[in-house]
Order: sequence, then structure tokens, then C-alpha cells
Amino acid sequence: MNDATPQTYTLAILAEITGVSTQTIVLYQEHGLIRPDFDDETVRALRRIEHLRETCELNLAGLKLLTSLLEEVEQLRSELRTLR
Amino acid sequence: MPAHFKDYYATLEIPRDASADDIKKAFRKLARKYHPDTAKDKKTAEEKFKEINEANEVLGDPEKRKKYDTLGANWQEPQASAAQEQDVHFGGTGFSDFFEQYFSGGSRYGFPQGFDEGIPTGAGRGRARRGHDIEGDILVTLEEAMHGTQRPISLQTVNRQTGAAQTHSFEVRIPPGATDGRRIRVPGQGEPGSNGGAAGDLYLRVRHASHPEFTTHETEVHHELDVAPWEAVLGAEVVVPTLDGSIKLRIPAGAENQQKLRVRGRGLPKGKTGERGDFFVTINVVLPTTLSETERALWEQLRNTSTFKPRA
Repeated sequence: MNDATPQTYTLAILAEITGVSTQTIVLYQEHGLIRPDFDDETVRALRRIEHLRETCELNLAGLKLLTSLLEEVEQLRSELRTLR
Repeated sequence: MPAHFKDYYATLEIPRDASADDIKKAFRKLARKYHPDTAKDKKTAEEKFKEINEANEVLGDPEKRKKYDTLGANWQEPQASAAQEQDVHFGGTGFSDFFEQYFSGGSRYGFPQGFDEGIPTGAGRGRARRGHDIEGDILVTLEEAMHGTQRPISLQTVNRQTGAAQTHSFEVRIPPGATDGRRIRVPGQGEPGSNGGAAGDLYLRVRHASHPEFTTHETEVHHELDVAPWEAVLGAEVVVPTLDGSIKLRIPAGAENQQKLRVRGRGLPKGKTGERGDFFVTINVVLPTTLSETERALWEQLRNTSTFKPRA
């Protein structure tokens, strides 16, 4: 049984869950790769970023471009869904 | 995993060349008939309602429909299924195995299947490695989204090294106010880790089941209300369904077609605060198509005496 109520995490907890260092998280945050409030969506975003970094060997600029594009696609898809 | 071919056209009782509008209409008609709230035999109706929703999910989306049409009768031929072969399989999401296999299924990090296959990940051999995150969709009715619910889910993953299939069953809590597109994180239920690494997480993306009366946007609930021309012109009081019972709604005199009326706090719950989104009623003026003698005389009388000039 899981508790799926939306919960927010502190920087330290987020680092512990995702295995990403606090400095890197702050860096991503400063570059707008992740939202300032840390919740389950941030956990997902961080894991995706780390996965992309590993598999596609992207640098910060590449990650920034890709995450903003992915976000846009998702946003447009959901708008399209509402319109249908 | 054997999946049975689903004839979505038969489910919606429409021909294969039906237009997008026909699909919408057919879905609405059937969804009204089989909605678990209104149907007499709740158990069979629920099954049927899910099937209709799934058919609508595929046929109502031009891309998915195209894919479905090309699958056709050869859906089980090797090239068709081999390309789609996946090592993640869901149960209990409200979608059929067939749908899961071709239109949803589990994907890693929300990327298409096989996107990172064969790409060296830089991790050394023998190093503890965390399992991948898995993402999938879960069909949630608006009633479930309203009150929250618990759903049994089973997830079968295939270990890519050993080829052994593992099935996990667990309960997932859908919190009240789960909006469409929201992801529910289930820690540790993703792909198993290797060399002692932790398992990945499972993300279930909430997909609101289409409802015959309502659509949602975030926590807003929308309803389209058909009204007679005189109701819009003169104003009226009508009974409107909401997710938690009917309400009386006053249509103001001189209401415009497609005008939205807002009822505060009758939408989906917003988290734990007890606060709720708004309910919107869109006025849809419907014109009579068949007229009796008397009605015709009255419209004619209106035409002759009215000072309204729409093109002036």
C-alpha cells in the first residue's frame, strides 16, 4: 500500500531519494530544469534528467533544451486531449 | 502475454469509416446507457463502460486510430507484434491487455519502448544499478477521482538479463481530486535493480475516463447544457447534474450561446484542503427541428413583430 497524497520534500531528502547530489539539484534548479517546489514530479524529472544525461550524454544546455521540449509536448498533448 | 483482439468499431457500434463526430456521438450515447451510475446491472455496465471508454480512447485519437486501422486483422502477425514486444505488462489499470500492448503499456521514463536499448550507459559491469522507472496509464472514472479510491494493480516485469518474469501485485491509492495527467508515484515497484541495486519507481499517469455528461480540466468540471432559444432569451431555472447530485441553476435572461456559467466549488477536490474546483456550465442553444402548426404560427408571429436584426 502506498500513500499517494501529494507531498513535498526537502533538498536533502530529494537528494537521498534520487541519488543526485544537493549541489547538482541546486544547479538544475537555477537553470530552470526542475521546479522550485520538490514533490514526486520533481523526483520523476530528476530521474529522467539523470537518465538522459547517461544515455544521451547531454550537457546542461542539451538537457535544458530537451526537458523544455518534452514539457511542451506533454502540455500540448494534454490540451489536445481536453479539446477532443 | 496473450491479448485478444478488440474490435473497437463494433464496441462503439459504428462503421469503419465513421467520422470523428460520429465517434463522439456514438460514445456519448453508449456511455450514457452504460454509465455505472445510471445503469441497472452495475457489474456488467461497469465492464461495458470501460470497454466503451477504451474504444473511444483509441478511435477518438486520430493517431491511435490510424495505428489501430493499420493493425487490422493481421494484428498478430510476427512483424506487427515483434516490433511492439515489451517486457513490462500491467493488470488492473482499467485497460485491456490488447490496449496495453499497442496503445499504452509500460515505458521507461515515459520514453518510447526501446529508446535506450543497446546504448552503453557508462555504468561499470558488476556495479550496483538501480532499476529503471516505469510509467503507465491508469483509467480513473470521475467518481473515483472525486472521492478517491484504492485499486489493485499487477505489474509483470521481465528481467532483461535472466529473461525471468516477475509479477508484483499491490494496491495503489488514487487520492481524491486526482487530476487528468497527474502521476502517482509508487516507490520501489519499477524495474528491479541489478547487482543489488534498488528497484526503480512506478509512475501511473491518471487518465480520466470520458464521462457522458462531464469533461474536466485540472480541478474544473465542465458540462454542456442544451437549452431552448426562449430559455436563453427569457432566462430559466433548470436542474443540472453535477458529480455529487443535481443542482438548480438559474440561466440569466439574455444568455448567449456558448456562454459559460460558473458554479463555485462544485468541481474536483483540490488536495487535502477540502477546497474544490469550480463547475462550469456551457450554454448550448438548440433549435427545434420539427414544428407543429401552432409553433410555426408563433415563430412567424415573432418574425413579423420582432425588431431584432442580427445583421444590422
